Amino acid sequence: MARVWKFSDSINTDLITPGRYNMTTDKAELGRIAFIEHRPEYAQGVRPGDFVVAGRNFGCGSSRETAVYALKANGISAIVAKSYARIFYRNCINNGVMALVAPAEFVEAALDGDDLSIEGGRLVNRTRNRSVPVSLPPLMIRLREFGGILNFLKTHKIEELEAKADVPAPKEFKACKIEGIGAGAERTTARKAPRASSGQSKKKDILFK
Amino acid sequence: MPAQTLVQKILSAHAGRPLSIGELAVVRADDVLAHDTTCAWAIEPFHQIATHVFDAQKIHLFFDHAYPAPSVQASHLHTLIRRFALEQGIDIITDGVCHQVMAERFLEPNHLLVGADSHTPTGGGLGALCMGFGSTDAAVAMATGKVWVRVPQTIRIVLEGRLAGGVYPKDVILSIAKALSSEGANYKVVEFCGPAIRDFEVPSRLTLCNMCAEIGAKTGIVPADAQTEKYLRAQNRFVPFERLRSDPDAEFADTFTFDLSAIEPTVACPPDIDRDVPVSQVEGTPITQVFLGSCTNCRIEDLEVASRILKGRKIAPGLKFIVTPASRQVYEQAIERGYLAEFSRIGAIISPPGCGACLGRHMGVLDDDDVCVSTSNRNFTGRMGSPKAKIYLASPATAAASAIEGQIADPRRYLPK
Repeated sequence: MARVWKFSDSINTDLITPGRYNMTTDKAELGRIAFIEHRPEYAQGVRPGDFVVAGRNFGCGSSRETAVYALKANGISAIVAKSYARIFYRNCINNGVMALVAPAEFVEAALDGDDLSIEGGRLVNRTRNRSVPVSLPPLMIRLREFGGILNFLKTHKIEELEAKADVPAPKEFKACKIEGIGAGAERTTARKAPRASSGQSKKKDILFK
Repeated sequence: MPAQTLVQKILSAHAGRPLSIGELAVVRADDVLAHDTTCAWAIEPFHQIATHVFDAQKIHLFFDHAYPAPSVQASHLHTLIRRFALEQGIDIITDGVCHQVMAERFLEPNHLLVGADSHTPTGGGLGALCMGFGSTDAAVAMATGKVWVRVPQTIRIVLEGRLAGGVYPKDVILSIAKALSSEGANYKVVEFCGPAIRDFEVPSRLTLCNMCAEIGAKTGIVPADAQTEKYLRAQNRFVPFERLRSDPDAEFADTFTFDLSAIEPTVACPPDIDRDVPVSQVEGTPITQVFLGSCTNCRIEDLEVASRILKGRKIAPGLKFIVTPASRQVYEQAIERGYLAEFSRIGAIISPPGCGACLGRHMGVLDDDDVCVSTSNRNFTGRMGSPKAKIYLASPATAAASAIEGQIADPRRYLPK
């Protein structure tokens, strides 16, 4: 079971990897110092597949990419937040780390230890009986397929990233509708495996693995 | 050609084609900046995709965040970077905070800087487009000379009126941060305009743009003008530049107008940048440390303001008063003008130029019970040391007045009539 590690609004990168501890290029070591002062039990307890769920402006402050390296080293499935600060967000894109934007209600309902999963393009909180559709910007999907921008650049030119409209500001996903699993008649439909087996949804499942 | 914002024009020039807002573009960098921590993490990624940098002259590597090294770990990072710089033929610069030195020596109006540091927007004060990135982007930029960007929307900040005595650009940007919130400009660019900006000299503009990072902006920018020319001439490196402007009918995400005459000395209370109050609300709060430093506020103009307040006075007994000039140039000017001797005589600790105590790595790390008034840019929990310490952000004037009293103080009481 993948569990939620819940954080508040405005979690800055100094809280994720404080300046006094992040003077190393060893990613495993960075994983061990994640939230070392803010929440010492996190690095001890986090398991691969867990989720970091936070409020608004996650990753604000310093550009230090150690914040992303540390969470990636912890093997988390994804970060789920109401909104992100821009450098942290692009560091996630470049590292192939999934940074999902979820509506405020979904984030607020999630508590430490909740059973969270991604199923066919939906973020599902079984503990709270809630689910919400999520989407990733095309660039994040594309670079995740390669495991990050560095791998992409081994076989492609950087110009191949250009696109007419991409990387929508994460805030624009706010429009996502919450469809509570526990909400009466919708219950059965929402619990069904998402969209049988069109090629499209298969691809999505792979992306959201 | 449809109307464009200033930032759209600069990005289009660096993409080699007209760009629309929202578009994902790959743009050329005129300069690339990284420092003793972000560069260390860029080296291995760089070697994954390249053997040689695109242009060693355009890459600027600084030792400023922890220099001279306070620990073996920090020293080791310096060694890694030195080895990389030597192999690639890049100079290492140890003359102060990267953003200040970039303004003094390298940045030009309408140029594009890829900076592996969140306070890269500082250089927007010269009318350059300076954006902060992580280490992977720095590695990509060092390898290819390029970076991917989403063409951002622009928020216009119109400045009107005149600052009252004892009120400084820091108070202006703290007031803007309060009005817009710490994510109010997320993903967007802040362009400063209006009649008052013409009177702001480049050092003041650097302070305004520096803290745009704290409201989430991709960067801040002041269109280059006569003040920019004056600054570049004083630095002996003026090259004629085009006075690029946003088209009047360009698309802006928002426009906010600030009346400077209504702004008071302002203090950002811990632990968020947008918890700003007039100094009168926190006056008398006991403090243990004053930090006059950082890329936000330790230029010669800032030391001059502090000197005017401190001259002939004493600092509070037991207070740690740390002065960290932003660059070697500032340090030498401060020696010539006698400020450093003056500060030292009243008990200040003068540290070498660099980031110093700002990020809690060395030279002024706070303990649990410490309360610091800092001229830097972040009052986050744990930023300068213990997560229990408290950091109040303020102008150099407020910091100097607070150093005298050993408590947060209104600088207007100490200004010569």
